[in-house]
Amino acid sequence: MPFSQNFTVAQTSANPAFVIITDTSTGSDGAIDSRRIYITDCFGNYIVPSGTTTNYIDWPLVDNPISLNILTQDTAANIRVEWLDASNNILYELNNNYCFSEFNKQFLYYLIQLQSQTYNIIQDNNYWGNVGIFWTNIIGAINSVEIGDDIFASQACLNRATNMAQNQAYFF
Amino acid sequence: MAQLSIPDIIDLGDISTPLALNYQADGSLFGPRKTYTAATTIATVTDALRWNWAGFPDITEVRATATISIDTIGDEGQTITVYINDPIQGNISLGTYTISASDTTIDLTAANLAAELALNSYGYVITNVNNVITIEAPEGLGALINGISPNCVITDVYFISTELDEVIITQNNLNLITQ
Repeated sequence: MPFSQNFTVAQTSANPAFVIITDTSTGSDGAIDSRRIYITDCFGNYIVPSGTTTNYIDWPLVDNPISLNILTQDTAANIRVEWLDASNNILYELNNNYCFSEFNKQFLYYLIQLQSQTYNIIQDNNYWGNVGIFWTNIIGAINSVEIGDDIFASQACLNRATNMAQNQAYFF
Repeated sequence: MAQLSIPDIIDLGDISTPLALNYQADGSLFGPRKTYTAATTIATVTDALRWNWAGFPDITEVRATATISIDTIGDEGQTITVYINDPIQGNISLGTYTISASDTTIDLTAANLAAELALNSYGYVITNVNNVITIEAPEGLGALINGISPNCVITDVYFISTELDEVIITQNNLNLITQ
């Protein structure tokens, strides 16, 4: 059966700093010798785990899935996986855009939870208006990638939401 | 009426959002409605619930388990450290236990080691029956941890010479090598 490259990506809820990439390729190709992951942000900067000195992340063929500690805040990124031969020639590659918005999603849930403990929070100046803006930015970030395939616009939305979360004393 | 499940409530939120918009739109014909932000509020809360439910579903997860057996009493002063290469948190130490003079049976050593491991802050649940310690993976790891075994490192208190012909004397409970 010929090799058909594929992979899935998920940001972990338990720790949103981690991204788990799973190789879901089918078929086989005996020439495949190694595998690499390239992750770039919306400006084309490479994202790698701390301590990695290359632009790419080695993904040993025996490791599947792989867990990467790469995020410090919500990020829109392009992920490209390359399957290489013994001479590091690219045999197969696949890339896709992803919106990692778990940090802000969890902050939104935290806000809603807070209402049951501190109900008068909703009387704060423009509380619901800001919650609505925060939510809209998350939705916008997701839609930018899923509908528009645009990580630059997605990152702009994520940055606005992240700014609100980091300055929650002013917004909520 | 049975208690609504979380997915039921998410469905209600999805249905209520456009209904709230309709209600608001009716206001242009029949006078202002009480709140013009109801649809946004409902959608926001529904999504907050949906996203949290996706990340932390309250289902009966079959959490992976591993066991450690203490088969010999060991020596006083030896330390046992249990490591797990957690797929999310990396290679973590669940805890270290130092064998003491009171560990006169393997069951006692197992119980004391289990008590130490139970203090871990990584979400691993530790139970102990006789000489067997069971380690249960944290919630949410699912099948990710399948196939990963705990790594027990037992450290001796003695400094062992690699030159076996050296004379060994005992000082302060440590075996020292005279050169």
